[in-house]
Amino acid sequence: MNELDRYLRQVGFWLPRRQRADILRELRGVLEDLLAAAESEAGRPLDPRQARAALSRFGLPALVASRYASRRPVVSPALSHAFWRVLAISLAGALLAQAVVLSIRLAVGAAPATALGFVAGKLFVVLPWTVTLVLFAFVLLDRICVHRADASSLE
Amino acid sequence: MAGKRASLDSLRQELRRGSLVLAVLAATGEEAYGAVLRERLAEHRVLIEEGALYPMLRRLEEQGLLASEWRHEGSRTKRFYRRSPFGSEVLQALSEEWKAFSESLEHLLGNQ
Repeated sequence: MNELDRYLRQVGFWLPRRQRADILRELRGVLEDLLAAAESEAGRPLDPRQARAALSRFGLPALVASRYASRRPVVSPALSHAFWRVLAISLAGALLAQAVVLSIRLAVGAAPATALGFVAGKLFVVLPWTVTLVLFAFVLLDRICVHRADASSLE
Repeated sequence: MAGKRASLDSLRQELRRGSLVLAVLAATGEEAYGAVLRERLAEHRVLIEEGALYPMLRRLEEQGLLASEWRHEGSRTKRFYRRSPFGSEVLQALSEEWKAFSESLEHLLGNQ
């Protein structure tokens, strides 16, 4: 396997499967031209190190592939401010609820270490669930908003 | 200082991003493969990195603004791009938009 094949394989790893073969076919042509130009500049065939250097000027494989990504963000920029706000409020609410639970447990005479351990254990479950639920709610909201925007742009 | 420069670079890129689509649509009236298209744009002092041009061509094709075809050129097969009829319609609409906006902006900048 030469340096070009290795580079293309690395780019291909990050590309969407559906378009991979087609994009790599085009990129191969572009990079062959790039290597040929580097070779004519050097006046002799490139050794593997020089070929790697020439290819690296085209960009890191993951970054090259990311330019082809057409996937929508999980939460679109229009909703991202609201998303962070709701997430912060929800996390603060979850922490506050556990602080109340902790206070009640301490008030009814539970040992502080036991009460803290109980609340810490709850937080390990509650916080990831809060993040997950808020995220899912916004993903759904995002899809509905975008669907409506698409529908109204067609009217 | 570095922060100001980074912020200026990011604003400059943002300003260019939308107009590059217009430039690429304008340059694909005659079919061409990527490298030729890039030269064609450079002749008009519109510079675009290779790594950015090819994904943009693909996106414009997915939107139906360009059509492409694989063909032999010398010893290699290349993908040739050409503006589609829908692309021409969009170019017309966008260039009118561009001219009106640019006129307003020049008027505004002239008052500074």
